[in-house]
Amino acid sequence: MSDSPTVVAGQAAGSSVPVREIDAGDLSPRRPRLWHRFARHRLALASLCIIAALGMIGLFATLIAPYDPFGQNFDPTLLPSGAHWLGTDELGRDELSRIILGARISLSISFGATLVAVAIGLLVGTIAGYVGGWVDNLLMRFVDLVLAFPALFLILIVSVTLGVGIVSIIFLIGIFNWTYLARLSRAEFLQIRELEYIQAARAVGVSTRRIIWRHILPNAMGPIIVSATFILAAALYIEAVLDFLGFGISPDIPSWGNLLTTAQQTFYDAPQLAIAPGVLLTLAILCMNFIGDGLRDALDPRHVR
Amino acid sequence: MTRFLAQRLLQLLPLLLLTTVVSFAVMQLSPGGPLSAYEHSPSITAAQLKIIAHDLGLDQPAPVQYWRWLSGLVHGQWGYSLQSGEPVATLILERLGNTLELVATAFAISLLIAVPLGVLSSVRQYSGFDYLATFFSFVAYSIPVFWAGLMAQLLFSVKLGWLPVAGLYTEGVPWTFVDAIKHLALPALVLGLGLIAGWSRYLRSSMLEVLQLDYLRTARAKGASSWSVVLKHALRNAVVPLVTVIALDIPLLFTGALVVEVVFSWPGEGRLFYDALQNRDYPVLMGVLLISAFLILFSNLVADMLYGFLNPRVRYD
Repeated sequence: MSDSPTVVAGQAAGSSVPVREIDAGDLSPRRPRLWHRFARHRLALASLCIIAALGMIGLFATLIAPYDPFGQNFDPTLLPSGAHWLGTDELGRDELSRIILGARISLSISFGATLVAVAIGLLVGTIAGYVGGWVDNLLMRFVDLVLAFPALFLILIVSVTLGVGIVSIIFLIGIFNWTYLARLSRAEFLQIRELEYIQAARAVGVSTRRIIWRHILPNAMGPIIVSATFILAAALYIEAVLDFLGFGISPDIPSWGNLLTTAQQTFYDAPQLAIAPGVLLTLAILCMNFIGDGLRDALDPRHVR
Repeated sequence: MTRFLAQRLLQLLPLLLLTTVVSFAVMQLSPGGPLSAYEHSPSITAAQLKIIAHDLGLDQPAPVQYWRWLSGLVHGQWGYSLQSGEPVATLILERLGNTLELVATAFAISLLIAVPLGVLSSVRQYSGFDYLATFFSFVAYSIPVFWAGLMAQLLFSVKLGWLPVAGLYTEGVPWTFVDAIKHLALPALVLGLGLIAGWSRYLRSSMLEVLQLDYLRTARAKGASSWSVVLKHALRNAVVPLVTVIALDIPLLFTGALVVEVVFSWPGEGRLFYDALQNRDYPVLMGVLLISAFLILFSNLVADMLYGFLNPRVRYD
């Protein structure tokens, strides 16, 4: 990164000033500038607002939902009406309330899965990139092996074999989506660990753990965050596909994917049931992609748009 | 080049072997094991079960079983479907044509749309067309494939009645080319949607990088017309990295085909995999998984080769 802060580790040897470790974070002028550059990407900014709004809706779903998402109305209307803006499903449950609760379920699963993927990817990438040698070689060949299989197929087979709930699907999606991030963070670590300020930090006796956490990671964070945003979009999609194919979480749970699956039964009579969750899914994935794009532009001033 | 190819193939071998190990492990995952179907059958005693297991070599340690299975694999013996009893290799081969038809059409459509779109976007950078193309690319890239399929069915089949909802051809009617094309159109387009978006975006940025190079200014200064500069001089260089991306995206087409084939009841490999999932037909799952792994490794190799072939600046030794 061209604008990474250079850290001066104290004064030249022999002077009376004690040699002192300086945090990369202390000097980083990047944060405010980053925000301004990100905000220039209007679509990314709007996307961030939309994702935040969807997150809020999910967080307060039970307060916002006009009806009980599981309460059945025994006079099902299916089609939208004044009382049920998006109609009801085949069991007479209010679709709008179910979609609102769905925001909580779908978004929390994809955020959780992204956290898992980033944690594994960072761990593997950090070890490979910092330790190097045969450890690096072994880990990267393992990454090659995982990448040789289509993730969706493996996830489906594991899901069919073991069955999944909300927690296990988070781990399942995360476990099969960390490889790209591992490669990326490895490359960042390989590059940064050779920079002079790291050598300076090592020279003044900073511990390895502290070098990794305080000196390398903050400077490697940019590309990692961008890639995490794209993992988030992919996780949301994979969760929905799993539900749609019938190998995701229990069909009683109104995730957006499950809502789409049940809507297929009344596809011809009440198409809005199939349209609404899909629009939200597309909107959320679109916004996550825009945010990732905006972040990438903001972090890389040379990037051509 | 030959040396590089040989080297890459040698590197690939351990990875190929490892993919078979993983696939074999998946097979072992199957709950109850291969004989679970007999376990609750009243006509088979535990002693008989032991004899069957012995006859099939199931009492051998896992490495021995793996070795036997692998040597069978090399000789085209891929096991039998638990559901239909047919050989897995036959099941896969039967459906290969349908999947290839779908994937190849999607591939061609994507390429035919993505290349002009990417070139126009780059030449008219920051124009209304560019913004529109960019926005729609992002939307197309973000739409979940299965939902795009559902919406296409709703619009073109249910509301407008232009195209059939699903299937390979109309049942009970003599096969005609037009009928087959009509059935192919929606699934192929839906499958290609994400690729059109990805490839045109990639070509756009690749073109933008090339368009500002000095040799293009030279070409223009020498009086070459602007379109000939763009198409003959710029595109030829900008397309090189795209070729690699396309080769790497081929496996993506096949995973996408899984979802599309389910939505459109298209009897291909994806549908086979989906049915096998529902029946927990592990030999079939393993077969398709292994084929897809081979395909991915092969695509990576092709991407590497093409890159060197198209870009003479890359030297392999």
